[in-house]
Amino acid sequence: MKRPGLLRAILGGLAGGTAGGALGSLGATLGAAEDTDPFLWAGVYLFGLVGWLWGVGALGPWFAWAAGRIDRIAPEHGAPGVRRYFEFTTDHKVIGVQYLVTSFVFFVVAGLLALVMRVHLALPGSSILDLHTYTTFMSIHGTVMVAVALISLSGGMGNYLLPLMIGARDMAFPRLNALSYWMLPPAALLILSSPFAGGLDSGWTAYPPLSERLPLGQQFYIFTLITVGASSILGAVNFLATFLGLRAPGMSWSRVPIFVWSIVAMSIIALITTSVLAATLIMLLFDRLFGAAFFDPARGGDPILYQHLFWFYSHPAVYIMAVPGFGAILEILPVHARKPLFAYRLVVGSFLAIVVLSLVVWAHHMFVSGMPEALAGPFMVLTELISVPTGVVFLSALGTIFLGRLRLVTPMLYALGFVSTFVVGGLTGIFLADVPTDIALTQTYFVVAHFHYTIMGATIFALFASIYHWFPKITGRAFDERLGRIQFGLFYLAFNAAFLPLFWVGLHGMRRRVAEVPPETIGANVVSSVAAFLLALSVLLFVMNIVRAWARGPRAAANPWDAHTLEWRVASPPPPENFRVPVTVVGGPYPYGLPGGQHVMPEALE
Amino acid sequence: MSSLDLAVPHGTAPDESDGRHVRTGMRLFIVSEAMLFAAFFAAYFYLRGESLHWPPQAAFARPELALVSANTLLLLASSLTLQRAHGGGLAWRRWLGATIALGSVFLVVQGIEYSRNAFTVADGVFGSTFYTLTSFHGAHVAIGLLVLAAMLQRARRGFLAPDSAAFAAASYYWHFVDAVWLFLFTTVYAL
Amino acid sequence: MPVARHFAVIGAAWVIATVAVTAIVLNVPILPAVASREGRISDGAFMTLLVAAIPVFFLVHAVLLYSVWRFRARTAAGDGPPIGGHRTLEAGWVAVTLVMVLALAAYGWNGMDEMRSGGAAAAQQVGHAVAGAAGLPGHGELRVKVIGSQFAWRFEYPDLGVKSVELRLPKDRPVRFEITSPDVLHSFWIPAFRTKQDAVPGRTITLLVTPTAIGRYAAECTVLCGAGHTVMRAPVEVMEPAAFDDWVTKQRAAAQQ
Repeated sequence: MKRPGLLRAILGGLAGGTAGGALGSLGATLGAAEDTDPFLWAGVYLFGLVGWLWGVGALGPWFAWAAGRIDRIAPEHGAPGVRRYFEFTTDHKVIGVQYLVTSFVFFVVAGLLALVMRVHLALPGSSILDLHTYTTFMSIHGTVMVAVALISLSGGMGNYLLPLMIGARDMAFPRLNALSYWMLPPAALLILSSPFAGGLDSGWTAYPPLSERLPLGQQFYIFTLITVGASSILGAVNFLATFLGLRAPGMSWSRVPIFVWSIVAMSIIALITTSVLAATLIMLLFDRLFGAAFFDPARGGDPILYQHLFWFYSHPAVYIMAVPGFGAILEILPVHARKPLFAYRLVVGSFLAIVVLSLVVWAHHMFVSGMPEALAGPFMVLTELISVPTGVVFLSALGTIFLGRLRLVTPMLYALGFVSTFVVGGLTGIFLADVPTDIALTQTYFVVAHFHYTIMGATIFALFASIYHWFPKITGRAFDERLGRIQFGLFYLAFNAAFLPLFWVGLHGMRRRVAEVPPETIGANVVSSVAAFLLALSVLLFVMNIVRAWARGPRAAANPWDAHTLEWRVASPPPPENFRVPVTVVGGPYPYGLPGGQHVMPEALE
Repeated sequence: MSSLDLAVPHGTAPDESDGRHVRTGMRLFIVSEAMLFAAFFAAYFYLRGESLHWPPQAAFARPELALVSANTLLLLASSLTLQRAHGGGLAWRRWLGATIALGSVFLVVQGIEYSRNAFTVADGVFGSTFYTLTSFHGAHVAIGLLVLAAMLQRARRGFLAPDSAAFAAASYYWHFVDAVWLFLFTTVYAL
Repeated sequence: MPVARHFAVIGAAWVIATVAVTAIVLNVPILPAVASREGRISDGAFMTLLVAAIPVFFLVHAVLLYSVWRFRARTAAGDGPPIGGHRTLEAGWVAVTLVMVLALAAYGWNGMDEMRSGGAAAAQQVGHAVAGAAGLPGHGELRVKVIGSQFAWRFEYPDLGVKSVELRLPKDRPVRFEITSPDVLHSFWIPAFRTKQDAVPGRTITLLVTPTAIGRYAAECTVLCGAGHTVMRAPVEVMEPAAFDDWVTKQRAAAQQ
C-alpha cells in the first residue's frame, strides 16, 4: 500500500471516485441543478482518475518537485520481469508494450461487440437484440475501435521504436509518456460502462441535438474521448520534442527511418487538431450540464457548428491512424525485399503534404448536412487532391518490392496485404469525395465498407505486420512462422469476405447504423457475418501464436531479419538504457545492395 | 567503455527537467492550447455571425468595460513583472511573486465581474460563448498561477535560477495566457 | 532479365484484367433501379469513377502479384539492387495522379451543379403539366414539406392542401422538398432517387428532385436519430400525373370530412 502500484491505483481510484461523487452531488445541489446524477458521475470520474494516477505513482514525484523537495526526478525502470508491465515505469519500451497489449485487449472487446452485431444482422428477423441495445453496442464498437486505431500503432510501436530508431536512450519526457498511458484504463472502463448508464444511441459521432438529450452514457463518452485526447496530445508533444532534440549525431533528416517520419507527421496532426475535439465535446457537455446553447437551434445555436468542429478533428484523425501505418509498412518492406525504400524523400514530402491537406478537407463528411452549398465544391477538390500524396505511398511500396529479393515471412505478407487492402479503401474514398456519388452513398454501408478497408488496411494490417516484425526484438523470442502464414491467409481472405459484400449492400440501400437488414441484401449480409467469425478465428490464432512464443518460444537473435536500423543493432530485448556505446549515424537507413553500405557506426552496439 | 558510462554527450535524456527539452515541449504544448481556444473562438464567431443582433437579447448588456479594461492592464503588468524576474538581479524572486499577486487579483476581479453580470451561461448563445471562453481562460490563469507558485517555491529552495529552462517554459505559458486574454478582451468584450 | 520484359508481362496482365473487368462492369447491372433525373446523374458519375478505378486497382495488384511471384528470394543470401528511386518515374507518377484527380474533380463539380439545378431547363420543358379535372395548379414545381421527427416522416403539400404519411409524386414533374425537423437531426433519403438531405432542427433545407420512373419506393432516415432510427421509413410512390391528381382530390375530400 505504501508503494505505488496497481493495487494502490485501484484503491486511489475508488477513494477519489467516492470523494468526487460526493463533491459533484454537493455542487449540483448547491447550484440547484434539476438532476444531480450527471454532476455526481462527473465528479466520480475526474477525481477517480486523479486518484488512480496518484495511486499508480504518476503524480507524486511531480508534486515533490513543484514543492521544491527534490532537485531532479529520476527515471523509474521498474522491477525486472513481467511485473514491470503492471507498474508505472518510465521506460519507453515498457510503455510501448503496455500500449500494445492494452489496445489489443480493447480491439478484441470491440471486435466481440461487432460479432454480436453481425449475428443479430445475419439471423432472420434480426431480433436477438432490441433496437436500443444494438445501437449502444454499435456506438461502443465504433468509439472503442477509433480509440484503438488512434493509439495502438502510434502509442505502441511508436513509443517502443522511436527512441531506439533515432539512437536515444528514452523519450524526451519519460514520465509524461507513462502518464499518457496510465490515463487510458479509466477512460476505457468509463465507455464500457455506458450500457449501464442508459446506453449510447448516438454512434461514435455523437451529433447534437440527439446527443444533448440522451442519458448519462453520452456523458461517459464525452469524458472518455477527452481523456484519450489529452493522452494523445501529451504523446504528440513527447514524440516531437524527442525527434527534434534527441537524434544521434549524424542522423540528419534524410537519414531518419521512415517510420519515425510517420510518427512525426502523425504528431503534428494530433497536436493541431485534438484540442478542437476536446473543445467541441466540452461545448456539448456544457449544453447538457449547464444549459448552454451551442448546438440548440431554439436558442441561437446550430447543430451544424458541431459537425464542422467535430470533423475538423475527426477527419485528420484518420490520418493519425493511417500515417503511422504507412510508415510501419514502408519500414518493413525494404527489410524483407532486401532493397532500399523507393522514393524515400518523396514519401517524406507526401507525409507532410498529407498533414497539410488533412486539415482542409473535413466538410466532405457534410455534403448533405445543410451547410452552405458553395462549400461543397472546394472541399471535394481538396479531398480528391489528398489521393496524390497517398498514391505516393503505393509508388514507394511497389517500387521497393519490384526487382527485390522477397522473403515472404509473415510480417512481409501483412505488409503486402496492406497494399492490396488499402488500394480498395483509397479508391472507394474517391466515390465519397465526389459530390454526385457521395449524395447517394453517404450514410450507407458503402461508407462502412470504405472505412473498414482504409483503417483496417492501413492501421490494423500495419499493426499485425509490426507485431510480427518486431516481436523478436521486443521479446527476444521467435514466433511460429508457419502458423503465422496460415493466420495471415485466413485473416486476409476473411477480411475481404467480410467487408467486400458491404459495398454492394450499401449500394443496394442498406443504411448505416441500422439494426435490420433490407431483404434484398440478406445473402450478402450472411456472407459478411460468417466471414466475420473466420476473421475472429484468425485473430485467435494470432493471439495463440504470440502468447505461446512469448512464454516459451525459441530464442531469437539480435537481428534475425538482418536489418540496418538502430533497433536491430542492440540485443533482443534491448537493455534498459538502449545503447551501451555512443552511436553515430553515417548513412541512410536502407543501404541494401550497397557493398559496405552502413547506416550506423560502430556495427556492434552490444 | 563501461556500460555504466551513461553520461554520453549525444541525444539522451536522463530526466524530465533536462533543460534542452522543456522549452521545446512547452512551445509545442502551447500550439495545442492555442487550438483549444481557437475552437472556442471559432464557435463564437460562427454563432455571432448567425445572429442578427449581438447580444441577441437586448436585456443582456455586455459587462462593464471599465472594470474589464483595468483587469486587462493588471494581466499585462503581470507579464512585464515576469519578464523583469527573468532579468535576474537580487530581487528577481520578488518580481516573480508580484506576477503571482497580479494574476491572483485578476482572477478575483473576474469573479466580481461574473457576479455583476445580468446573464448566465444558460442565456442563449451569448451567455454560452461568453462564459465558456472566459471560464476556460480563467482556468488557464489559475493553472498558470500554480505553475508560477511552484517556480517560486523551487527558487526559494535554490533549485531555480532566472535562466532555468523550467522557468522559461512557465513564462511561455504565462505570456500565452496573457495573449489569449488580449484577443478575448478585444473580440468578446470590446467589439 | 531486362526490366522491359518485366514491364511487358505486367503491362499485358494489367491490360487484360482491366479490359475484362471493365467489360463485365459495363454490362452487368451493378446499381439498383434508378427513378429520378438526379439519380441518373449520380449513377453516371458512379460508373465513370468505377471505370476509372479499375485500371488503378489492377495496376497495383499486377505489380504486387507479379513481384511476389517473380522476385521471391529462392536462396537465403543476397540483397536486391540498390535502387533508391527514379526521378522520372516519381515525377511522372505524381503528375499523372494529379491530372487524373483534377479531371475527376472537374467532372464531379459539373455533375454536382447538374444535380442541384433541379433540372431548371427540364422544368421548362415539362412546362404545363396536367392541370387535372379538379382544376389544381399543375405546372412548375411541386412543393412538398418533409418533416422528420422521431421516428416517422410526414409530408405536406402546401399548395394542394394535402397532408400525408405517404409520399406520392407525379412522374416527370420537378419537386421542391422543403425539409425540416422539430426535434433531432434526421436525413431524408430515397434510395431509388439517390438523393439525400439532412433534416436539421431550426432550418428548412431545400432539395430539388425530378422523379422519372413509376413505382413504389421507400424514404428512409439516414442519420442516427435514436434507438428508433432503424424503423424510420415511409412509403413513396411515383404515379402517372392523372393518378396523382386523383389521389390529391381524394386526400382533400377525406380531410374535409
